[in-house]
Amino acid sequence: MKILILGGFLGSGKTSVVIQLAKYILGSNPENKTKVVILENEIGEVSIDDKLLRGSGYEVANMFSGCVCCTMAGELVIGLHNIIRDFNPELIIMEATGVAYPDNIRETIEQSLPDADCSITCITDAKRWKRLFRPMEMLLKGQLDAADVILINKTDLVDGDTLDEVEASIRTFNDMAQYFRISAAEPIDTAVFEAVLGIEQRSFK
Amino acid sequence: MMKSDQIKQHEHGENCECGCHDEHHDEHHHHEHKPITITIHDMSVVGSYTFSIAKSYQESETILDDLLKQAAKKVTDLGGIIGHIKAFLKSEGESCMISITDDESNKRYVKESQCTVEGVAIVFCIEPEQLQDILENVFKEYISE
Repeated sequence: MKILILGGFLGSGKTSVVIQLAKYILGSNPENKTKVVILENEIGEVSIDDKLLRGSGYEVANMFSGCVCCTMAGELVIGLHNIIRDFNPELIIMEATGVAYPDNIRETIEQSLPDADCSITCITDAKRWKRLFRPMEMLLKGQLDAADVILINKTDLVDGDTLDEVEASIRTFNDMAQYFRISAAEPIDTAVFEAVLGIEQRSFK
Repeated sequence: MMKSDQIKQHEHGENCECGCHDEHHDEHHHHEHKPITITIHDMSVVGSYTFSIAKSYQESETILDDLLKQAAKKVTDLGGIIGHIKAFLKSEGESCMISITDDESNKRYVKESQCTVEGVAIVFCIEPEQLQDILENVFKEYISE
């Protein structure tokens, strides 16, 4: 079973990517029997993103009022075990809160589910990177440093030179990840999703 | 794709430990939220709000857009950093009562001009009390309705 942790700062475009990823997985083969569970985690007392996903034709399981990387780690473990027991999914897409440290989530999952194939994709906001970089440095670093794939989003809102500077800055936090430049406001290239899901996971299509 | 309804298809008792929800997490557990609640998570200050706008969807969309921009400006004017300010606007739309006394049904339609708003404001570098004041001030007309 694969667990994809989708992390990244608040407003970076995680939900927009989830919507397109779900369409990619199901889009070309509506008869796909692959079991996919989307788990939404939101920090507020009310949930927003799950409503957006439902409005796009996808319904989600949500955990809100806290962050599964810390205060709700226990609930995450219980929830995952029960989802696996009840549905035995092949893929779980876990959209983290915008203040979560994805590596903490992976650590929690791997302690509880040592056989799970857990990967982290982190979304970054090209437009706000320079503004957030200094004041949010520790959080951004913590979100990015363990990512396997990094998607630089909102590339349509910055010029090429700025984008190069942003990527160079992000790479100081993590130069080992696979990088892709995207605009989630437009159709995302399928190669991005193949990387996010892992080459061996092409069977998800 | 597995649907959340499937995940939630079992009964959730008071002490349910399914992990798919808690008392806030499950849409089956309805209870009243305060119009504005402020919590702190790590470095972030999180304001959650729910209220209604007694206008059409189109009017409400314009109003909400303006309210969120006002809130954002007030946060930045205080030197705060906006993480994400977002809200979900839902129109109550039309409703209908269907009644039957014999074998024919009678339908009465009601057009509601009412929208509900659920949202969060996640910000940094301002005090929780400041965010509370901002949200109360910006949303005051609708929270009191």
